[in-house]
Amino acid sequence: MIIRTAIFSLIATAFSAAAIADDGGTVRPQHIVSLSPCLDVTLIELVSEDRIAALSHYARNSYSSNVDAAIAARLPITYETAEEIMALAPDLVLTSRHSALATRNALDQLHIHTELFDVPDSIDGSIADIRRMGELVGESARADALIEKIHQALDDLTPQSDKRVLALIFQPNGFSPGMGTMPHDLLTRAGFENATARLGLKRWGNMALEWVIADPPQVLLSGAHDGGVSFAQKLLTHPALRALEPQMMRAHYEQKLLNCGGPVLITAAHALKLAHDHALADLK
Amino acid sequence: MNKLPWRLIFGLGLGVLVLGIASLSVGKVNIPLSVWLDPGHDPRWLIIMELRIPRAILGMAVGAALGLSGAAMQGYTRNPLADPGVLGVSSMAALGAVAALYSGIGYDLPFMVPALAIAGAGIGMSVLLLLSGASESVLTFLLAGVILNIMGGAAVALALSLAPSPWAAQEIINWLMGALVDRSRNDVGLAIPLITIGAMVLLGLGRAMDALTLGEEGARGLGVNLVRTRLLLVLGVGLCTGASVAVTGVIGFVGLVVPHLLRPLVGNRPGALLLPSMVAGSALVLAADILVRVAPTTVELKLGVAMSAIGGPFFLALLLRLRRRMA
Repeated sequence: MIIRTAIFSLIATAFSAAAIADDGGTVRPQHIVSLSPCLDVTLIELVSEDRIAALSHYARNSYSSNVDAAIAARLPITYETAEEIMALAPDLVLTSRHSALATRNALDQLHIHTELFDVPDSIDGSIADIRRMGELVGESARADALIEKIHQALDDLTPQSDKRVLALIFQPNGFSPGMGTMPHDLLTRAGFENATARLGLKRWGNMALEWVIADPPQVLLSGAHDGGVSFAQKLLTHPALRALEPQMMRAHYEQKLLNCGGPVLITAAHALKLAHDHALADLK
Repeated sequence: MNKLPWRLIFGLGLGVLVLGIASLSVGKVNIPLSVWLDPGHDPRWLIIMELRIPRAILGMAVGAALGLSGAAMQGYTRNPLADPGVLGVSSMAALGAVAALYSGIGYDLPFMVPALAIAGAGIGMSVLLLLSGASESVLTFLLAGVILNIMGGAAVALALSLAPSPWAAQEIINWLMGALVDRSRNDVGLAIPLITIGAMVLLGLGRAMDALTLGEEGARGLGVNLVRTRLLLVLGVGLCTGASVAVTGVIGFVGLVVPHLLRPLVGNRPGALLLPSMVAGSALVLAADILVRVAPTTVELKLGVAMSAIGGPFFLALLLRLRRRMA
């Protein structure tokens, strides 16, 4: 598989200097607009920056976006309005189910080429999206290379020991992924048992602090918890959590890693591997 | 002081005690009796100590503060519709707290949050008194309060929308609807001393308020210093409302409902209404906070929602009765 991909990408690279209209008979879009933070990250991996007409405005929000801050500052953004998008005269607009329906309809009426992406809730779904985007932008080879990197990171994630560590992803407001989400899948692959599964949480939910205390996980994974100023963040520094710390390890896992698949899976896998290694060393 | 309705106060106190115990025993997690009988050994003991006790204490204190503030405002203005929540004193307090938090001051100096909330409540109360001073009309007073409330609420929403926080919408609801969920001993430590001072200031105004039933001239004749009374009222309401809002957000209607329910039992003496309103306010907020926890909702109902559900119809009935009396 790896060898085949490598050969394929070599061939693809050799031919990439060929005509723009070479890939599957379609014209390779040169002014691409992305309207979703998750599509932003993948797009940056697949095409050169001069082909990106605009990213979504989320790209510049360092809390929720996984786009590199320097790249986000360099590239234009839109606030997801049809006006702005039209002014950019794009030849491809990547939208997601999160984009406003009114905007998508408006773009259709203006005969702007849009491509709608689902919000995948599985790793396979996310990988299929990367492949599809690769075809749309005429960069299938780069897409395959990215997919290969993700597979590699997922392979590295498999733990050495069979020992399951009870873990809970606990973000501001107690936000937590349950079964049927990509983070749940990642946790399981990393050798963790997702604590929300015990409570029967499906997809996403907010964990009550009382639940956490009544049945504390061995590892609590949260983003930066320096107190913050909102009620949402204050929860992460609650004295009750601090009182649990002798028996509950805290590890770093940023909330933005929950939002997307694509290249974010690699970062997320690294963070979970680190947490799992620490936990095993700690629990010995 | 002998003329205070002590029997009523003790009865209400008993109610607070019962509701306090009930408040400790409801929540997301069911805590069996064995945990209570064997303190400190079960992990769930931590839930009682770090979550439910602070929550019950705060509920009591905030209810007391708001009930007392309402009774004092009604007593001083001789206006039965006065309430810190309805007339914008609370939303001005929320504005102060939000300003402290999102300017970063409250991050380095946590006491600045209640300090600015108290300042906001004090300013709100002063504006109300200035406007009601200029005209004796109940309507002007109420309109001034409604405008203050709308502007304060809008400013809170604006400040939170401009803040670089991904939870802005959620935070606006938290500040304007109020909640006691997941508060900690830190919040108790922050609010209780300030509420205590504020309550003592307001309780000391009982005699002046009784005198004011004779009108400002009459009160002055009885030796009441009106300027001093007014300043103490601003200080007391500011401390009580400001410290409460700083930790829970705006909880409306407590100060409106409680004195009204008690007035028939106490008689038309605003001074004698103060202490009972304080105790009954505790009971009401504790009861509402139990209600939001036992309600079968996935996301816990905001306390302000529960209070408004009770207070809204009450306010309406009051208005209708007032209109009939005026007609």
